Amino acid sequence: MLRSLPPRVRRAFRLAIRRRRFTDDDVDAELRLHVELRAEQLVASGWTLSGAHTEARRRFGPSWDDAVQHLHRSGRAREDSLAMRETLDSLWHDIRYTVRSLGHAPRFVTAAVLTLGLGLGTTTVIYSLVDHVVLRPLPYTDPDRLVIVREVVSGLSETYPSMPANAVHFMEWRRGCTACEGMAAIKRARTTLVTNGDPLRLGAARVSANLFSLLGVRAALGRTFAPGEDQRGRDGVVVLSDALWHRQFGGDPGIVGRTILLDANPVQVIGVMPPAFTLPPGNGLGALVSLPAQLELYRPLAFTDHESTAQGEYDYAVIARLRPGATAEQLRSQIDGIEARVAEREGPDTKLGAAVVPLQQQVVGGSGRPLLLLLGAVGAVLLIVCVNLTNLSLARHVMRQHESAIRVALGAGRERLARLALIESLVVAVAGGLFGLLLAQWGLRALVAIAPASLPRVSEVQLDARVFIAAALLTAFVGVFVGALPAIREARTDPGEALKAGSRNATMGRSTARRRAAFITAQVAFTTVLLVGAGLFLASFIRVLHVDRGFQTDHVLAADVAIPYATYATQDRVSQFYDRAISEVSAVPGVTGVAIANGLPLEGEIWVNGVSRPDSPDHHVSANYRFVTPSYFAVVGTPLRSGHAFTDTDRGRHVVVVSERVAKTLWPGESPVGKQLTVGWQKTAEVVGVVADVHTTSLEQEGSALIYLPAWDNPQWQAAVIVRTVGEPATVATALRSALRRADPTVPVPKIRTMADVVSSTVSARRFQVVLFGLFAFMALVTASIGIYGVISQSLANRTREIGVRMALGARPGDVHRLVLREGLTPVAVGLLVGITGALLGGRVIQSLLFEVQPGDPLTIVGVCVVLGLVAVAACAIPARRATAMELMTMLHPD
Amino acid sequence: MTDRMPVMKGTLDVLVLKALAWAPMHGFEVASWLESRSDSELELDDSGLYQALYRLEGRRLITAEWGMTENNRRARYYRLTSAGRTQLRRETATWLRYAAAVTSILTDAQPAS
Repeated sequence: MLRSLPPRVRRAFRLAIRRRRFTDDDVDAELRLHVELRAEQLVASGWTLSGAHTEARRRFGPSWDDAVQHLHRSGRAREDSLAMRETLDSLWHDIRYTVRSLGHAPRFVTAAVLTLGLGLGTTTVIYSLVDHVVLRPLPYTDPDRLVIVREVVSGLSETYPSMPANAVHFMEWRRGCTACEGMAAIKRARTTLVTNGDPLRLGAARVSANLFSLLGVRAALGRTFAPGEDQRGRDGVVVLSDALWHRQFGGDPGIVGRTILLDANPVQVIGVMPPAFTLPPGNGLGALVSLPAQLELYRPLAFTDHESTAQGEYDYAVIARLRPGATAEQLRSQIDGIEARVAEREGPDTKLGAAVVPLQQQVVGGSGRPLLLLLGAVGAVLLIVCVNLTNLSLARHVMRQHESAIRVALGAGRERLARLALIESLVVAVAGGLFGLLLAQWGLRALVAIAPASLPRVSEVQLDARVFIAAALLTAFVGVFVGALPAIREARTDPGEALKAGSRNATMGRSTARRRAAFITAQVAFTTVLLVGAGLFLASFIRVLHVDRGFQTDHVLAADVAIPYATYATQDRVSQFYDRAISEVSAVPGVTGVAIANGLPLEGEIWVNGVSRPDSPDHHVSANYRFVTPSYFAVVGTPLRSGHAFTDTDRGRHVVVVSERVAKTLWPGESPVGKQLTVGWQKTAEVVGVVADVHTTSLEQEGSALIYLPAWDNPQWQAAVIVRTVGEPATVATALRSALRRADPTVPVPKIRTMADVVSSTVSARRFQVVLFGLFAFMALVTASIGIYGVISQSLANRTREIGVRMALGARPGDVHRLVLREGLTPVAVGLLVGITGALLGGRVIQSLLFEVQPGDPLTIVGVCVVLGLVAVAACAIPARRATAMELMTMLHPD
Repeated sequence: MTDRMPVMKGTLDVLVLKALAWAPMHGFEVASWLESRSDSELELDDSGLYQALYRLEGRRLITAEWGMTENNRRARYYRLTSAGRTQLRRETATWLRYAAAVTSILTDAQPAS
């Protein structure tokens, strides 16, 4: 009803009563009339005049003044409420108006929502990744007081700056350390669970009983370990992961208290961990720890006699909780003190030290920087999108100039026009944001699927409230950012100027031309930086794939076997299984060679121990020990450099094959074949051959020192059966599995994979980076080319008449094309220059992430220039051709 | 006059709306309309009445405009908006259902006291 009044009246009305005093006066006038009328009514029914007046006031309550004051307040509240509703109304009106007017510009809306959606969607995805992996604290109580303690061991420290802890040392620390509240050790384990007769190989960890309380996590069902359950004899208990509980026991709550068979020993299930609980897999707790990727069982860590006395074994990840106020450095110096005493006791040559790293830092480790870089890249894409949108909005503003001028002339407030412009960009941003969330939902799933397993905590990544709020804030920011310039322009609308010009297309001023050139330059510069980055990562990736890895990937298939200790208690029996397995697998059609080894190339460092020359103990190196059957080198394809591989005739002799790195370190400039080598602590063996270096952890790190010993001397329970095949190796997988089953059905074969899979999974982090960076660079390129195209089209559309005149005066289409190209490509060239300068300056940031490629790699830079140049030429040429293809008369009289 | 009932909390708003459904009125007219309609059974607090009017105006259920009375006195006239009309219908229906339910319980013949 209020709205049905003429606006002028409404305004006047509101103006009068907006102010407090007017409101109060209104109330007073109203009450005065009321009291008068009431008094008259009372007088008519027989009251005296003064009595009637008093009575009329009394009916407002015991105190007239209080009543009046109260009503003043009510009156003001009424005005506030009305004013707020007015504002909301007009806002709502503006939004509806904006949506309607956007409906008339479907091309603008589509372009804006699509690009914004892509930009916001990808930003949201990468942000949620960064948030979960880098920013968010670990899911433990007070994670910032948790630290990792490792050892620095002289003699090993050149190869491994720090090692996991030794059990003896750990126990000393635990006794003597006061800077921490507690300390717990963790060691990887593999366990076979037998349910329904099927042996199942599971990733497990043996952990100190206090680990869970140290981390501040409780079991979801049952309990975790009680103090003392990590003593031998009391350790027949196990805690399950949520995943295992569901998969193997159907989520049965009655599992607690039940007894299950682990490695043929009965143990009692005491609890199930919550779904979110895990320990950082792989080397998340430091190099050489290598916890299984899927931790499904937690056993108490009761040290065996061997473990609690062995001096040279560094196997335990140690987590400590600092006392409140204590620093990592205090803990380190305290443990250093203990280490010095321990070293003195262990021998004159031993030097030990401690390294203390905050847990969060250890876990995030190397992933932080590449991810932040990705966030930067995606931010650059978003910036390009914003620049583009601002330009599009400004173009709309230019078209609306005439309309706006009329509105101002008719009395529309300029702040209202500015508000409209801002609302328009916010409406577009919100639409883009919603579309982006949709994309993010879908994109995140795709991303998690291709993310490398080494990325910490990647499985936790999801769109949650925190990410959602960040996305909403970003959307609002983009809306304001994009709308600001058009809004300022609208606010400056001069009714005289635009109307005087008399034409719909106000002529393009110098400043407009400069602004457009600046837009192109900015977009091209950002795009260049992204393209250079993507190009460098791609070049690194290609180089990594072509590294000389020391083994062949084609036609090689490997199956892990976990020989149960219960039925194969001696190494002789294990050897017998090896022989049976080799003879069964050799018979499989398509298999040309079979070998067994205790580790595959690229699957990490295992069995690290020192080797040295007996004649010169100063020549020593820590090497990975591999126990292999004679055909190993042929099957894996590791070339022999000199000497020979061991053969069956070497049985009974102590022989060893060394990698080139060992040969070069121990016998520089000499051939080691025929020389003696001290292996482990006492044995010496004769070097019979030298083989090429093989990458053990990643293709990007040089091959580790490796020695190969005959498997018959020391057959391992954990081993890989490796076969060379004639055809596609994956096709033999089933036959391989059944051949191993024939050898012994009780031996679990947890995993079969081709060597190509192994390589592929070690480069997954790099592939991830290349794919994402490439995607962003491509998005930037597409956005930028659309931007250039749009700017040139607009500029040409405004100059149709000028072009017409030029052509009427004899200019040929080619001349016009050249003119347009020169205008369009000048800012592109400037942008390229700026971008490449930026990329070179910023190159140091990514240098450590590159592999054998320099940030200033000329090939990459030239490639980027060519690609961008071609795209820019195309983006200019298409509108130019269209402009000159028009009928001359249409050009001269566009209206 | 001595044993008149105070208006129950929450019902004043709907009564004011009902009064204004007849015609635009100023405050005193609303008050006397309610008094005459209730046969002076209801005790109206005049301060409460104006609070109700301002509250309803703030919610845009009614709107106000200055006008002249028959005797040429300046008065603030209140008029029902369409939102107010809807609100009145809804509130009336609710009130009637409520009253019917209460009545049916209270008039249950069984435990006559």
